[in-house]
Amino acid sequence: MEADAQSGSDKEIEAAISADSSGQADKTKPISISDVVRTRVPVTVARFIPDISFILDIGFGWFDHSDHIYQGGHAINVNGFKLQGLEMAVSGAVDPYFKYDMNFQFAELELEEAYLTTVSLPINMQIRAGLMNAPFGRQNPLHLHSWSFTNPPLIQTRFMSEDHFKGLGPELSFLLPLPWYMTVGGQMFDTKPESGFSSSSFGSSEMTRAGGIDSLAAFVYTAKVDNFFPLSDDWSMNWGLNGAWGLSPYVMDGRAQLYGTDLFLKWRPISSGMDALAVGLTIEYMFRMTQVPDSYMDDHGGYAQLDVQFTRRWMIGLRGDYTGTISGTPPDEWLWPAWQTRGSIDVTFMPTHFSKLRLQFDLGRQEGQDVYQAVFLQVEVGVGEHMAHKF
Amino acid sequence: MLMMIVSIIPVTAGAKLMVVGTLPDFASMAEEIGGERVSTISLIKGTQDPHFVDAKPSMILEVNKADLLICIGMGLEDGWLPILLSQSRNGKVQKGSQGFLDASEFIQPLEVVSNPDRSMGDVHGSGNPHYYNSPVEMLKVAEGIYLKLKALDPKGTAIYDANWKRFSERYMKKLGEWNAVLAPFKGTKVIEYHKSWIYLLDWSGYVSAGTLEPVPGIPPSPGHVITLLNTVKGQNVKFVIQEVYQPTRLSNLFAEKSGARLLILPSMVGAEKGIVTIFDKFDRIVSMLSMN
Repeated sequence: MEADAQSGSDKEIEAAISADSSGQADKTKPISISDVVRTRVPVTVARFIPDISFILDIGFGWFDHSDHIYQGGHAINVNGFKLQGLEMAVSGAVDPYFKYDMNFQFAELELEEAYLTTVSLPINMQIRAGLMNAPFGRQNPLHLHSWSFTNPPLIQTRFMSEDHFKGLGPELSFLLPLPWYMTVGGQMFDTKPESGFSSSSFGSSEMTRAGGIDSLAAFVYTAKVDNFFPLSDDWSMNWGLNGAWGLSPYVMDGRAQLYGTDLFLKWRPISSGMDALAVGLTIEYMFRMTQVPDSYMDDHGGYAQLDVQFTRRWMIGLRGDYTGTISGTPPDEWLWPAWQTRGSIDVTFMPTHFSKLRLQFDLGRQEGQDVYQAVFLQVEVGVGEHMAHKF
Repeated sequence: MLMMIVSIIPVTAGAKLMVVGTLPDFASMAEEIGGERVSTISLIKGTQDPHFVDAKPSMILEVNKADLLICIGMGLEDGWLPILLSQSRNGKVQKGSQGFLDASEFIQPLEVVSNPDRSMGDVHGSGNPHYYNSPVEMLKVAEGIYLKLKALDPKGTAIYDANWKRFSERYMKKLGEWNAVLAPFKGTKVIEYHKSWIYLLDWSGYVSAGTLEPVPGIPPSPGHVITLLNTVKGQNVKFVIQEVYQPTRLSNLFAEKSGARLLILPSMVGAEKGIVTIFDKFDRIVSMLSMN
């Protein structure tokens, strides 16, 4: 049967090659500008070096008192300077079938992501495999240099992770045959701590009675549906639905579920030649159900963010955040306060595409605390290849 | 194995070749040369700055369906095209595949920098990428598109040959007319906003007396404009030339103080109403440059 399939494939290739050759009957070259204008095309020597870039982020923060919302990760959490990030990004084609991406964070000596992506598979399928940020919502997949603020939204820390909700495993996605852009996909993450698994919502494999991965239930699973609608030349909208399921961090073999939705609306007047101007509205909401000792806990949160780019170099951002418990008792009140709110405003100056200066002001409060104020200053510079930006 | 088969199967009878150009000029020329054998789409509009394009998911959908992708190359689309290619799931148009056409392969690059670094501004090591502003370079690109269409769709050879003959004969005639209109003005001095007109100037014989941007990609400052005004004093600069998407405040100021005229030239098909083909575009450019 295998031999028949092989000879069938060979026949298809031979037929395709014959059809290709039969069309090349006339080799006469018609009029060519090269007869009129002599052209010397410079010869370049290929070097199989991937695209490499380094991005440095240094921040300074000042809080008016020490009792404030603590986010961890890249965020500035105490008064003073912080090396928020020194990221090395490497990207390149492996061969006609795979692409390679890697991000290493020298500031924390941590491998952020390293994965392969298939180039082209049947039925518009795509597979990624490796250590990846979960494509859950809009904020989680973003690296520090793509943030609109010096700190992430509160839901990022509470529901995703101090850095990123990520894991080692495969991802399968499909681009659906629809008139608009819609992808559906899912991931499966190993939950062993040494595999790079990181999550605020799900327990590691140590939360099984077996003390390790002893069944498929010990993995974390994510699912995403992503839609993009070009409302006009100048208006665009992206809408996503997300889900994740895995072990509870608090009960042996307990379960947790996380759901989210995100909306991104952007206006950029490209049709009138004013494409340096742009206004983007991002709204994200997450809801979580977690098994806790003797009970369940439900909590939620969200943020709305407005990014206004006035010129190629200047941008202003406004953000309002909220997280809170809906029902049940948080097992760790320090990690999960009953509620948190924060308002942020920032201004960003980008001298070029490769450097950035940001000034941000936060006003925040959480249960059991007074209102606090904080100011942050951030500078970012990058060298190397200019990596492409996601929408 | 399946990927190999998909990449070499030619266009079947009756199916149009889907041609996607990053630039509207490429889509327009492919439409003229491809005729009934092709469907064409441009990823960007003629009013957009090709350096700063949002890689919208709808573009991924268009690249997913492409049989041929034509790009400017030379690093101009580095901020957005790679992500469209990697998300497109289309092996036919990946770099190095038959359906990937880097139009810069056909042109004679100018301003090739041997050791580029970003202290020089937004420079590209393989040369200035704005060759689409030269009618001579774009004719070379058109020929490259014609040959690629024949390679991808051999069954359409007769149609491509006939369309190319018609297109190139018309183009050569127009080239002669454009040359004749601009010949008396060779040596005319202009100020560019961004160093994106070098190929046009090289062809037309007009001369750049400087740029409003102190280095490529850095916006002009009032201080630099004053320095430039002093530099060009007495040189009889006739025009300030720029694209439609660039701000005009300092350009207008320079023009007013120097006695020059500000021209917003259509750098791409679609940059203005009525500019639907490559002929319209260069007709308009030549008409504006030959104004008194």
